[in-house]
Amino acid sequence: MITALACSLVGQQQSVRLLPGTRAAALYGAVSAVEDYYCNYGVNPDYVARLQAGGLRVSGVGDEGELRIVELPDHPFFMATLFRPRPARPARHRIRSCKATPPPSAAAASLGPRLARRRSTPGSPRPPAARRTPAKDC
Amino acid sequence: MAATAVAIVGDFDPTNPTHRFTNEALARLRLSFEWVPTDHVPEQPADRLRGYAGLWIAPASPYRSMDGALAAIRYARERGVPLVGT
Repeated sequence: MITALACSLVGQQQSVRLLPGTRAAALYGAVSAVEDYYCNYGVNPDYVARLQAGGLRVSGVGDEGELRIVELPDHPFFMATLFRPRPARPARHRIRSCKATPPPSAAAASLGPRLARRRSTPGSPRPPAARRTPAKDC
Repeated sequence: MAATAVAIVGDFDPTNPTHRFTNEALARLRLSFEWVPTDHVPEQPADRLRGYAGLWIAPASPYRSMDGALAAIRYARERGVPLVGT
């Protein structure tokens, strides 16, 4: 189910398209974002349909539709990303902790302004990220 | 004693930048957290994890215990415990 990526994502920044109607899109308050990757592995595309049939929703994809964010719609909050935290922007990682999860609209209202800074801006290409190679990887 | 908000399930490695950033992010949010090594997650994960309001599944595999990591994720999925995995 997990397979080596055709191209390693270690040290890469890539855009993520946030699919409408998902919790991820509501939390970002945007249609896309740029995120940092340290991965050599990802979900095997051959299994995506089966995962979806089991209730997992794909909520973020790469430029070519590659799976980047998944969530469980019937769960209070269950989300996983292929990308990872980065030092310059640690505050963007926010867990809706503890109690009831607000509906996506409320979550977007509270988190949108912060995450909005992460929106990708068309026409402003990013410089390549410094290559960082952890000893182990995801 | 105040409840700890977040269990970070993973094998903390101070040389792994993303592990340090995870700590920084949670500290900045003023959320209390503890790392729970994957090989400390028992067969019945609730025994170790029920005190936490949410789980963050940390990166860096192979885990010391893949079974422990998967048990924690399953526990969150089945019990409705908030979880984020990066």
